[in-house]
Order: sequence, then structure tokens, then C-alpha cells
Amino acid sequence: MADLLLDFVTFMTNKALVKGDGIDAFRDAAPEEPDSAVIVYEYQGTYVNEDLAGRSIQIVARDKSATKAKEKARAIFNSFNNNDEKIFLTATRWCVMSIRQAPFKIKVDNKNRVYYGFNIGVNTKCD
Amino acid sequence: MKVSMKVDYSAFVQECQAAISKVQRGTKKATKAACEDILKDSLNQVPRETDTLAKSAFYEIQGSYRNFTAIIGYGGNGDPINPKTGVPSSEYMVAVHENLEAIHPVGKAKFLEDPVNSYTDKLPRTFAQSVRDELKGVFKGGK
Repeated sequence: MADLLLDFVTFMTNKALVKGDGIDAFRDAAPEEPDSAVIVYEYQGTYVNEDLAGRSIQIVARDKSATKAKEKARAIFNSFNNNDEKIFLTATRWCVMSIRQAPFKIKVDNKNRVYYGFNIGVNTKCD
Repeated sequence: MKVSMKVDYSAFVQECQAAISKVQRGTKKATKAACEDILKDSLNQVPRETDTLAKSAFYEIQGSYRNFTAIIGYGGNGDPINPKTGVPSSEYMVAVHENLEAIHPVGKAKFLEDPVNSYTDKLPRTFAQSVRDELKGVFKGGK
């Protein structure tokens, strides 16, 4: 089983929401280029037991166009926001998600790129 | 021939009503305690440069005795203006809270969400203890 963030990127790639890891989707850090990018972060979660962890993920869409950033974030949000309890990110990783809010504007950087994001609580295996 | 029995449980009803009032009081006390604990933890984590964001921290409990809502957040207390940037705290608090890549000499991102999530396990105990304290001495027994 791969790293959780990579599994998120794989899921989004398979859904044609991004082109691929290191192309327009990045993990843990936003590179200077390209302007249009999706970044996936993990932050503090909670312990459940030795097999299962409550983890916290942030997904951010960046673009020079605020509309495109928002639309991308919304499209990713919609891909997770289904009525099924369990989501298979990959063949070897399933998780139960609790989306914490709809996409919202986070910031505008010094290159006038707009960031829209949302946060998810994810119950899944500890890596 | 008949036997009649008078049942008067009005005293018991009165004690129940008194108990409900005490549960409400205990719940509100616990809510206040939880807000104060979470806010204290949050203020230990909020990034500080001019202290503007920290000064905007607040909590309030809205509503009536049986149905109330607790709100904990930033951007309150008159929404102070950052003296370095001239920007009100409410306009940059989201960016500071959500930017996981920012490096802060003091504090960190998710300075509100993390304390709230950390308190989740403690919350039932806080409420149970507060209600238990209020209910001490209730239902002492009949004459």
C-alpha cells in the first residue's frame, strides 16, 4: 500500500481530475510551477487503534483564474462527496471519508494565483 | 366493597423538574468550560507576530436555556486591525489557519481546528462531570 497522499493523487488521476503525480498534482508542498496545480496535504489527525487512524487531508486547487481554481476544487470535492460510506482510493486502499466543508477560498499568492481548498477527515490504515 | 388508593407523585414531579433545571445548568457550565479550554489551547497555537489574530479570538454561547449553540472563533472582539498590514484580522485569518506550508516563528496553521479535534474525546467527560456535580443531592428519597 502506498503513502496516503499518493493514493489520493492516484485516485484523482484515474478520475481525470489531474494529469498525474509531479505533473499538475503535488504532495505536501506547492511548487512554483505550474500555475494550475492541485496540492494534497496531510495534517494532524487522531489515533483510533493500531490498525486504523483518523487522518486529516487538505486538498487545494490553484490557478491564475479564480473561477478555474474554484471549479477544480469543486470537481474534486464532488468526486469524494458521494453517499457511499466506503471509497476505494486504489485497489489496496479503502477509506471512510468525512468531508469537513465545501471548497472555500484560502488565499491569493504573490503571483496572483488563487487557492481554493477543502479539508477531509479520513479513516484508513496507518501507513 | 372497594379499596381506593390515592397516588400523589407531585413531589416526585417537582424533583424531576428541579433535576432538569440542574441538567440544563450543568450543560451550560460544561459548554462554557469546553469553550474556555479549547480557546486556551487555540491561543497557545495561534501564530503571533503583532498578536492581532490572538486579540480577535472569542467564544460566545447563543440561545435559550434548552437549546443553545457555542461558537469559538477568530475575527471577533471588534475585528482588530493588524498594525503592520492595515488589514482586519477577519480578512487574513482563514489564510493563516489553512496555509499548511507557512512557517511561523510562533504558532502554526490549524490553530482552531486542531484544538477542537483534540477536545472531542474529553467533551463527554466534561459534560458528564458538570451535570453530575449539579445533580448532587437530587432524588434523596421519599419520606
